[in-house]
Amino acid sequence: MDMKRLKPFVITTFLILLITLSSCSTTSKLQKIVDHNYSVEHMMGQIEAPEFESTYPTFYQTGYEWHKHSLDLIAEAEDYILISTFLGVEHPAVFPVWKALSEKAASGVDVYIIIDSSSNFQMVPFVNERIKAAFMQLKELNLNFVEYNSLSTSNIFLIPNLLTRDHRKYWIIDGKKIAVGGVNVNQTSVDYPSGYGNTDTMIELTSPGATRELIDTFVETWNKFSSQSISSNNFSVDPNLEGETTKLWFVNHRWPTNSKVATMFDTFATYAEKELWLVQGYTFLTPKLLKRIEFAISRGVEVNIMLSEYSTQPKYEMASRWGVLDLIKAGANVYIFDSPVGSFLHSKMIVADGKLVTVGSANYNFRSETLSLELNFVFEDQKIGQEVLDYIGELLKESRLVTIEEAESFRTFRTWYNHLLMQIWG
Amino acid sequence: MKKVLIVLIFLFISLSLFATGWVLGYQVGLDGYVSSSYNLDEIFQVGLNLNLVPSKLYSPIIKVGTLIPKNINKEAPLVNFGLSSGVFVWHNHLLKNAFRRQSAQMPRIEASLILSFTEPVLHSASLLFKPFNYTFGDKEVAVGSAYLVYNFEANDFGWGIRVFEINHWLF
Repeated sequence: MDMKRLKPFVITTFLILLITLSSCSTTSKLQKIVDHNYSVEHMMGQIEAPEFESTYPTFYQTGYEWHKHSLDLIAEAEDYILISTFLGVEHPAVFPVWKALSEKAASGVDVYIIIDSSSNFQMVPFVNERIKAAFMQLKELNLNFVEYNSLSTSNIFLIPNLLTRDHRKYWIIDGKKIAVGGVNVNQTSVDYPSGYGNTDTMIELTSPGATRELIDTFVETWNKFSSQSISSNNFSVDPNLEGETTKLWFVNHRWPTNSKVATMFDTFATYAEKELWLVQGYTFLTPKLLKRIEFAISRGVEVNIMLSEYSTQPKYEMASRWGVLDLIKAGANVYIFDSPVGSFLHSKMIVADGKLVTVGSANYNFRSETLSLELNFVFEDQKIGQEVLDYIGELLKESRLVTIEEAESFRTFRTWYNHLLMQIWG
Repeated sequence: MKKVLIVLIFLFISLSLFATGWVLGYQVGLDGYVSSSYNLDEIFQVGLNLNLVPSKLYSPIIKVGTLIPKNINKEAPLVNFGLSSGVFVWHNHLLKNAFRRQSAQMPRIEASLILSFTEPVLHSASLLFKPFNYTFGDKEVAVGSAYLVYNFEANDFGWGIRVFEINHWLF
């Protein structure tokens, strides 16, 4: 038997089986949520997403903007800095961050960094050349770091282990400020195109409760992959909360033991009565994900989805294009953001009826609902909702509405194949 | 039913990264002995590790495994039960710059009882010292470990070398 010939068949069968088996969230489940008129509080309670008081978030809407601000945060730090990033690479664009952290560490500030092992497989945009992960550079800079779930040969005995990735991006500064969102510490995020980076979102806020929760999460993850144990007690949290406040739900997703993202998506689909916006560059549709959108549309909700041009990896763009026709046929409006500077829209934001908002690392795809560790903050707040809608209004100026003819042109074997592949890979 | 079974199996093997601290892992190693207990060929060691205090780096580990001689037709495999404990942790060790990942040198001592695979006969006992054992959090690698082996049948001592050993936590 020629195994090489069999390989694509086996992979394809496995993916189809996995997606089919996972498509267990049905319309009846969503209908039940609507029928019972479950509140956001109830839905978040179901997934044990804790609720915390917080200040209003400050939005950073490009990778470069966040990059500059992160350097300020590092400069301000006096006690400790905890960073978890999906991608952390060795590149001149992000070297100022590593260098600033190293200088802070040398001055006595505790610095700990978690980077996912996927960082070992980053490519220069549009060039078949690998960018090195930051690990060796961090070592040379005497920084404390761990590689999350190393992709090593000794890990091959449980394949799902290799697929589980820490996709979260968050910063904790001195127990006073925390930030979550989509920006990695890599070239594509902060400096491609140069001086702009991805069109991406990080939010920064103050919330003693969420900060403590985030520290505990960081320490738990750190201790599993480090030879140097740390304790949450070593990281103090400033209990003060000044200024106008709101509330956030802390959605920390770890499938399958602590699966939350799918319920978060359900909450948005059932909360919306008029309008639902998904700003999601990496939407790789599955039957279950489509069903959720169809359900919202069936209730008279106007569903708008914003994808993007200029993905630095063509396979991601092709993968997200495959489902566009299904979305339009379902009645959704699909926009493609076409940045005048060639920046990819990497934000992961959803807003329902201009009030219920989430920002974080979760994409509207199968991987974020399952294999990836994700972190999102959810707000039920008109003021935040309006701010996000205003921002979407700005993005719309540079976006086009996809016609059904254009959507049909996306349906090729290559987009289908990449769409299938990205269910697990993307 | 098959679908449910497949999902359950998938869920089970996917639980691995989500427990607080590591509990269960596997071990592979390669041994060589100068002892009346074994012949002079290589012996492969495969086993499971159970972490008694999952959240502690120094935690004692219970080991259950099998010793498989290279020439399995001439010599029967054996079963080993062991208890391993870290002696100390050295973060600033000499090879720290040789590894990509953050590491610590944690010498271990491991005491084992070795039984016959086919009958409940105590075959031998061993004391293994692993001075060059390096821990990476989810994985430990040891090279050049030394054995002291006591053969119950022959009533004599021998020695051995564990050329390398990899321990990887899975759950």
